Amino acid sequence: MPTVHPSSNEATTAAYRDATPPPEMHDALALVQRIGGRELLDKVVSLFRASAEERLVKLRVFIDAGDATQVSRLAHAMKGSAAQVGAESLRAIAAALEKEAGQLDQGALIERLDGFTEEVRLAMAQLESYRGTAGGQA
Amino acid sequence: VRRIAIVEDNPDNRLLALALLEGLYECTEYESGIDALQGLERELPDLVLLDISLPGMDGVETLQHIRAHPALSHLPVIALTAHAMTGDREKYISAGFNDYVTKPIVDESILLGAIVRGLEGVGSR
Repeated sequence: MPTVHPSSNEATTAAYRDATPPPEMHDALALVQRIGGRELLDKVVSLFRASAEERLVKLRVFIDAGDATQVSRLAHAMKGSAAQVGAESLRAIAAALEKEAGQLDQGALIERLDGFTEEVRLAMAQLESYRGTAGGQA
Repeated sequence: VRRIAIVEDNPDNRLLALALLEGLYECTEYESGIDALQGLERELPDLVLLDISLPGMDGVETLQHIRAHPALSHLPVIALTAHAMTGDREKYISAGFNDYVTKPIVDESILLGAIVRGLEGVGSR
């Protein structure tokens, strides 16, 4: 198992499932470092974390309110952010939620949110793992 | 220094675009089509990067307003989109965009090349 340094709120099953950054993440973050070095990498990871945390809270609010349009919208935003950092499994689950939000009932959406949250935590752990490796040091 | 307006609602995507362009161009950021239309009039750029999937007024509708506005209609506008379906390029070019770049940015030279072509008036149209 790779070395991971998750903060306490990341300590979910997903964070420990496999925090090895996927190849897509290496490619995406290599681009980030090419553009702005370690400083930009830190900004990108921090902003990803903040945006993702905010979207998870809003997702729950909109699921509870039965607003599938906003759920789809937030999933779309998460898909874009995940794609940019190469968090491939999160991108895929966000794309599915974006597409299917309008066809799912509230119970199914809450179930999806659990899996979605797990993928967000995993992506965060992968990003931290990348930052902690030689590849994460510009 | 040439001026570029970046219209993108996703802060994560905006950060990277800005980091890539800010040393080369003077950049102004807008989070929505409405904000952009108001801002572009006040601060006329040389080129616009316009996300397709904006909330509310989407990129295509925002472009229609730009093309209908006497002071803005000439602006080169590059579509930024996560959609990468066959025929998308033709769809967006025929909608009035000068060029089309897919997100995420995986090769900065693609976006930079589209911007240079746009500024030189050599779009894909």
